[in-house]
Amino acid sequence: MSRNIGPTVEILMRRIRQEGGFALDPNFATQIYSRCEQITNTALRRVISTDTISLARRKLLFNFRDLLPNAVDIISIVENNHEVYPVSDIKEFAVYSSTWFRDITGTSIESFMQIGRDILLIYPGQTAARSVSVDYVKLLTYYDNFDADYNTQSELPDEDVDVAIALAELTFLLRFRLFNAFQKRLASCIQLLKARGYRNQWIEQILRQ
Amino acid sequence: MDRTDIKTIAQNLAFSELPSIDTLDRYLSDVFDILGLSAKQPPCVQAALKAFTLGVDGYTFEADILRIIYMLFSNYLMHPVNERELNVYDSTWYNDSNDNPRVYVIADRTARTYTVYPPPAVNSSAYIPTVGEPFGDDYPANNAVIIYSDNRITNIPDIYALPSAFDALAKEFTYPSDHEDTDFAAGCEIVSNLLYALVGLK
Repeated sequence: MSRNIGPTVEILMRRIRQEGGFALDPNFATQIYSRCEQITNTALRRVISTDTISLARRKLLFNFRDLLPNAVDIISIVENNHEVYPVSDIKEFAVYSSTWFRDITGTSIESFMQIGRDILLIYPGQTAARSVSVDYVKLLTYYDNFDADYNTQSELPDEDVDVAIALAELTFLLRFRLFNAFQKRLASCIQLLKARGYRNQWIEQILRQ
Repeated sequence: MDRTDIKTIAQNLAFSELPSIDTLDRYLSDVFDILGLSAKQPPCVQAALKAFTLGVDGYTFEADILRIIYMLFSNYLMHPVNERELNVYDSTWYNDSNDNPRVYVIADRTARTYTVYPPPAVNSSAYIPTVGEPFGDDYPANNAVIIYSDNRITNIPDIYALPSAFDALAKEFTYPSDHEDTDFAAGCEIVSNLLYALVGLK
């Protein structure tokens, strides 16, 4: 179950005491909230999509943002009903062969690696184009107009919308130079993230800054 | 998303305290340069072919390269080393005998040059785009592939918009100026660090 964008942005504006949008343009609030939703999903990985893509033959290196424009991170690749092994370090490919980069075979894809948010490496290359099913963390839709998107349902699950609202609140409390409220909200925002299962050592250090 | 869009977001977040966008431009550029040079998983990554010349071991970074992440020659992953490590690899490396390059040394960061060792024994084949797949069907023989972080201005992943905008604002409002605001700058730094952590850059 998800909330609609309009009422959620209204909650945000009420929390930062900007109901009616006198000092804050509701469209800008919608845009920032939408960006916070995208960041929330990147961190918590709640909205996952699956697409089938075609990998060109005799090729191990792809720009996956060209193939999957809405993908932030690749979670898994399935080819012929078998899951391709994810590799985290490029040196692991050498386990297969020291000359792995131009290994072109007709067998199945064995492993893959994501580099940054652009490059996908697979091993081995294939003699013919292959269709594979890719599960990925979705880049949530960007909303930029309060009125037009008012009744649009958010893709983020209801229980995670609070995190996105909290991040957007931090943004606007800072924008309006409300530093005391900002400090209080920062602590509660980090508690919210930890309650959602997000773990990162940097988050603890941020509270101590 | 383009850097221009990120700059617009930053200006709106600054809430009309920003009379000039010239320094914001520079700080935003610095933000992406620093991320490209130091982040474990840089925000913008590209791959490109690199042709080597027979017997030539010294090359210069292309203009858009911030940091070489990986370099592969033909079908082999080359390793980054320093000159002392070259002695471990081959104690007679200074004789400069030609072979397939196996390692590379960043020779001069300021001059943006690097050295491959051994120097290539053949000239790289020219890239002829028959089907437009430089890493596939059209992959030319004896070429290197460089995977690197780049300093692109367009096509930046959307999730980096807010953290980089706050990072640039933190720099903009720290330096002595008519709009200096260290409290706001400190807040921006905190939010940018939080958002960087959430998008996986820290």
